[in-house]
Amino acid sequence: MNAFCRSLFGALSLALMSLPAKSAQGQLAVSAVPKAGAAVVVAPKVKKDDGVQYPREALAGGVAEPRTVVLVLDVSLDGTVRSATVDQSSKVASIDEAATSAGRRILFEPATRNGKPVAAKIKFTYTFVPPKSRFDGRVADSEGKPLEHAVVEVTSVGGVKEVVTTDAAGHWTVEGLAVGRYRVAVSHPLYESQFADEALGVAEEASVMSRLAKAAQSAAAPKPKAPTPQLEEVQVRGVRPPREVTRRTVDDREINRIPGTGGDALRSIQNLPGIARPPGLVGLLIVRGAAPQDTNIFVDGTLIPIVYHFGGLTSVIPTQLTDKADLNLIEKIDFYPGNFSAQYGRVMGGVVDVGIRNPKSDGKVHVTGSVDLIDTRLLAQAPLFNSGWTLTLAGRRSWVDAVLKPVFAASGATVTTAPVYYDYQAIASHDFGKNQDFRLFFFGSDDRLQLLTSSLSGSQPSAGGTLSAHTGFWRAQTRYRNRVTRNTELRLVAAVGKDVIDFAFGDLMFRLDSTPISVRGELNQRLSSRASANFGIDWLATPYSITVRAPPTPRPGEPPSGPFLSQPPITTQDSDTLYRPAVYAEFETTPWKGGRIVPGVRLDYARDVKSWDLSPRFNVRQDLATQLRTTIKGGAGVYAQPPQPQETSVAFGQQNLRSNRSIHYTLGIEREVTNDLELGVEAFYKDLDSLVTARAGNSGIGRIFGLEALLRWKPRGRFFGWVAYTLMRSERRDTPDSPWRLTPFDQTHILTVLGSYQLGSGWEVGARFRLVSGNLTTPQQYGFYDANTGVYLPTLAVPPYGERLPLFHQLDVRVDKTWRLGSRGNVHVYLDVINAYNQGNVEAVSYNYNQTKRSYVTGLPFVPNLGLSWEY
Amino acid sequence: MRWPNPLLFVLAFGGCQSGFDPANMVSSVRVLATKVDKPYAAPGDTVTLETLAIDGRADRSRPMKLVWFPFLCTNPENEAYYRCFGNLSGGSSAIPIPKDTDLTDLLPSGSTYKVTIPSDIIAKHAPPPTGENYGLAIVFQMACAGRVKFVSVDPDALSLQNAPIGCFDESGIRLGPDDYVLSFTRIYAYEKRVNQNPPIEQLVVDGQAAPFGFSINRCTESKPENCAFARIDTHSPDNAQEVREGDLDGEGKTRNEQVWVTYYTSGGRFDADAKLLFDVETGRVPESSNKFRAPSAPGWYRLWAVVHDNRNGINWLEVPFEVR
Repeated sequence: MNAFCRSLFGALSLALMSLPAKSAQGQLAVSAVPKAGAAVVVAPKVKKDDGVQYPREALAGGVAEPRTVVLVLDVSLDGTVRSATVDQSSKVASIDEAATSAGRRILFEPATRNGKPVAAKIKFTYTFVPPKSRFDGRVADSEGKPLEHAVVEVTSVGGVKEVVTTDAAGHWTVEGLAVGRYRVAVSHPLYESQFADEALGVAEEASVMSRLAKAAQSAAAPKPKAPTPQLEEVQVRGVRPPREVTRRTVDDREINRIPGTGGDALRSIQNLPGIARPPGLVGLLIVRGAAPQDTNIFVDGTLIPIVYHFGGLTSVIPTQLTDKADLNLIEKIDFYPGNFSAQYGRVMGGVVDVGIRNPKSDGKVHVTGSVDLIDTRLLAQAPLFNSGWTLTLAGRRSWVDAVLKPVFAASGATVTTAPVYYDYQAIASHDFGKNQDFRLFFFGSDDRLQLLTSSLSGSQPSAGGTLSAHTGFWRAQTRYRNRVTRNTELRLVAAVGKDVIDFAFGDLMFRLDSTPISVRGELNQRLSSRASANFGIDWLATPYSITVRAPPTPRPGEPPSGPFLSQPPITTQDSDTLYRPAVYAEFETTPWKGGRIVPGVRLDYARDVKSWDLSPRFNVRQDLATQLRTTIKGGAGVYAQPPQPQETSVAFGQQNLRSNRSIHYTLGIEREVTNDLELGVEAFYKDLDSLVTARAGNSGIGRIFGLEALLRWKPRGRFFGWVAYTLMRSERRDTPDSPWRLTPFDQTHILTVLGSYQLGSGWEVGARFRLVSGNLTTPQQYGFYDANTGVYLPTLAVPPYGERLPLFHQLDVRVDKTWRLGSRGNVHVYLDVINAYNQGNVEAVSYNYNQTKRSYVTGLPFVPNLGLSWEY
Repeated sequence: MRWPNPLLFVLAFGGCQSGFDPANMVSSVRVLATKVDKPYAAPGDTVTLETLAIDGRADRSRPMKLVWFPFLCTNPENEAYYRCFGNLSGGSSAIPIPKDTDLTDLLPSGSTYKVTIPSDIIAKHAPPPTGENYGLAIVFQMACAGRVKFVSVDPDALSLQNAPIGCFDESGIRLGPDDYVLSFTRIYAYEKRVNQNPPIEQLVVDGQAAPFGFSINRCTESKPENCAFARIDTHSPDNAQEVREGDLDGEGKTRNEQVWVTYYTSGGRFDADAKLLFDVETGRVPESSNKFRAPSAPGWYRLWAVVHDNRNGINWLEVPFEVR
C-alpha cells in the first residue's frame, strides 16, 4: 500500500467512525466530510449491489437470528471491488463467505480526491436477516371442492392474530411469521370449523390443507360452532429430509481442516462412523465391514473406478485448492453407509457421491495455486467472454517421484518411471436462469511406475524383473437440470470415458481397456402436498478388452499351492461389453406430521450373467420434536451386486453365477442436543447371501452388524469437531458347511475424535485422535519347502484372519495460517503432522525365511507435511 | 467396474524383512534345491531327481539323512501339495500305518531318486481353461537329523497342511526346524513341451572368474555392513534363458523365461537373497552381482549358487572359499 492509499484509508476510516451509520440489510452508505483547506475526499458510492440472502447452510445449521458482517472493501479506480475481507465476523462461516462474495460483486462510483478518481478502502456492513416463515393453505369441502370466503385465523402464542379469507381457489397465505407455535383456525358459515396447533421453524413454509364437513343445520341460520381440532393435513417444507436412512455430509470447512488428511475430501470421510481404518499406505474405503469393491464412488452420479492415487495419501479428485470454499472443486460429499436410495444400485456395501461445485459466475478471473510435500495443484477460473459460460481448469502433479526414485535406486532397482500421479479437471457451465443449468465436466487421473527389480526376496524370488504399472481414467460428463414446473424437476447426467489399467510384473500381466458409457436420468414429480415420486433410469454399458496372464485363483480359505507364479500361468484375452441397465421408482410420502415414508424399488439387469435383480427398499423417518430436532429412523432394503468381471472370466472365474445379495437393516435416532451439537446413533445389520466364492459358485453367506454413534459440533462458528465411534463385526462362511470366520475388514472398535478451532487473525489449529482395533492377520508357522523354487511355504493357521494386530492409536495435528493481502489475494500456509507422537502402529507381521521368527511391520512414522497456497 | 490398484500389489511385495538371519545363511539342516534332469517330462519318462541338502549345524552328532517317500502323487486337487497327504500316509486303499512307525530305514535314501511319470498323467488332468494341457507329479522327500516317523493326523483338524510325517530324536522327542526339512518337488509333464535346466558357466568374484577355492579377506569391523565387500556374480550363457515355445501371452507373443540365482553360504553375508539374471521383457540383466561380506572368523567356507528358471529348471554350483 503506497502512502497515498494509506492516507486515504485513514481519512475514510476516520469518516466512518465519526458518521452515524445508516444500516439497512446488506448496505452501509458512507461519505466523507471534507475539512476546510484539506483535500476534498469523496467516498465511493454504491452503484449496484445485489444484496445478500441468508445462506441456506446457516439455516440448515440452525442459525436463526440476524447476523452482521463488517467488510473492508478495496475499491479500484473504476469502481469495481478488488478484494473484500472480513473485518468483523458474524461468527458463522457461511454468512462470512456470503458477505465477502456479495461484497466483491458491488459496483461503486469510485472515490474521488479533489475530483479525481482514486482507489479507496472502505468498511461496508451487511446485515443478514433470516427469512420469515409462512403458512400456505387451502380449504375445501369434503369432496375436495375449494371453499371461497372461509375465514382463517392464525394466532401466535403471544396472542398476535392474523386473519385472512380464502380466495376462489380456496387458497390462503399468511407471511412474515416469526419462529414459534401458532393456532390455525378455519371457519365457514356453512361448514364445521376446525383448528390445529402448528410450529414454524426458521424459514419454513407450512402447507395446511383443510377439508370442512358441512354443518348439520347448514340450511338454517348458521351459528358458528366452537372449532374442533380436525385439520387434515399439515406439511412443513424446510430443509428437505434425505431419501436415505443415513446420509452423512461433510462440509467444506471440515474437509479442508481435518488433521491428517491433507485437506483431501475423500480421506476426510474416513473419519465418519462406519468406515474402517485401511492399512497404512493403502487407499481403500471399507464401509461397514464390506469389501472395498462393495462400495461405489460417484462424481455427481458418474461411477469412477478408483478412489485414491497410489499410497492412499490423496484422492483422484482434488479438494483443497484454496482456502476459499467457493473456489474448491468439491462442493460436498454425501456418504451413504447403507440403506441407500433406489437411485443407487449394483453395489451392496456403501455409496459415496462427490458433488462438484459449479464455477463462480461473478464475471471475474480467479487463479489459485497450492504446493505441499506430496503434490502441487493449480486452478484457474474465468468467464468465457460474455457468452454466459464460465470455465474452470485445474490440475495436479505429485512430487513423490523425487523422493521415491532414489529410494528405489538405492535398493538396486533400475527406475524408468518413478512413481508419479496426475489428475486434471475442466468445467464449463452455463446458467440459463433460475430453473435450468447445464454443465460440461471433463476429469481424469493417471498413476504410473516402471522399474526393473534385480534384487529378489528369498520368499518370493519369482516376483521380480520388469515392473510396470499404469492406471488411468477420464470421464467427459454432461449434466442438465431443469425445474420444468413448480412440481416437476428433471435431472440428466451422461458420461463417457476411458479406463486403462496396464500392469506387468515378471511373467505376470494384466491389461484392461474399457470405455464406460453411462446415462442417469431422474424425474421428480410432486404429486400432492403429501407425496412426490422419483422415476429414474440408470444405464451403463462398458465395452472392454482384457488380457491377463496370471496363476490360477486359489479357493478361499485354502493355503496357496506354492509361491506366487510357481504354477503354470493361465493366459487369456477377451473382449465384450458389460451391459447393465436399471430403472427405479421411489415415492416420498408424508402421511402425518413429521413422518416420512420412502418406499422404492429398483430393477437391474446384468447381461454378462443374465441376472435380473429386483430390489425393494423401504425407509422411514419420524420427527419427534422440531425445535431441537429429534428423529427416529429406520429402513430395510435389498441390494444386489453383479459378479466382478474377473469372477465370470472363462479362464479365471466361473460360469452360471448370479448377483451377490445383501439385505440392509438400519434403526437409529438423530437428536439435536443444542443448536450447535447433534447426536446420531444407529444400529445396523447386513445379511449377505449368494456371495461369489472362488470355485464354489454363489455359495458364500455373511453377516455384518454393529452400532455407530456420531456426536458432532456443527461447523458454523469458530469450532467444529466430532466424536465418531463404531462397534462392528463382519463374518463370512465361504460354503454352507464351512465355519464362520472373520473377514479381513472386521475392526471391532473404531473411535475418532477430532476438532478444529479458529484462533483469530487467520490462525486455526486442529487435532485428530484415532483409537482402532488392530487389523486381522493369519498366523504362519514352519511348514514345507518347495524345492522347485527354493521357498519355505508356511503352515497357515485355521481359520484365516484369526489373530488381531495390536491396537492402533495415532494423533494428527494441523496448524493453518491465512494472510489476507487485499488486492494481491490470500496466502494460506498449513502444517499437517501425521502421527505427532511417532507411535509405531503395527500394520502387518513379517516372517523370516522359514516362518520360525516374526516381527511387526509398523506404519507411517512422524510425517510433517507443509503446504502453501495462494489465491487471487 | 472397480479396480484393484496394481500399485497396492507393489506395496504388498515391497514389505521389508529386517532384523532376521538372512535366508542364505546355512546354519541348520537345509534343502537348497532339487533338480530334475527333465524339468518338463513326457508321459512315460523316467526322470532322475537330485537334491542339494546341506547339514549346516555346528553339532552333527545326530547325522542328517535324506529320505524319499516312495510314491508319486499325481494331479492332486487344485495342484496343491497338501492334497497328497492321504497318499503320504498310505492312502485309503493301503494298509494303515501305525502311529510312531519308524520309517527311517524303510525309505529310500540318498541325494538322487528316480521316478517314472505315468503315461496317462495328462489324460487324467483336468484341462486348464486356456493353453496346452499338462500333468503334474509331486515327489516328497525329507532331510532329517534323527528318525523319520509316521504320525497320525486328527481327521477333524481344519488345517489341510498337517503332514503325517515327523522327525524325532532317539528319545522320541519331535525335532524342530533346525533339524529337518520336509520338501516336495513338482514335475510337470507335457506331450511336446520341453525345458532344459539353465546352465552355469562359472562363479565371478569382483569381475574375475573365481577359481575353485578362492580367497577373500575376513571382516574385521564390529558391524558387518562396514566391511569391504566383494561382488559375487554367476555367469550363465545366453541360452540359459529359453524361449517358452508354445506358451503365448495374451497378445500372441512367445514368452521368454525368467532366470534368477539364489545364493547360500556357510559364512558371511549377502546383500540380497537372490539376483535376477534374465528378465522376461529385457533379457540379460546388465548388473546382477550381489554384494558379499566375508565372516570375521578365518577358515574354509562354502558358497552355493542355485540358478532357477521359472519353469522348474534348476542348476547349481558349489564353491569352497578361504577367509584369511
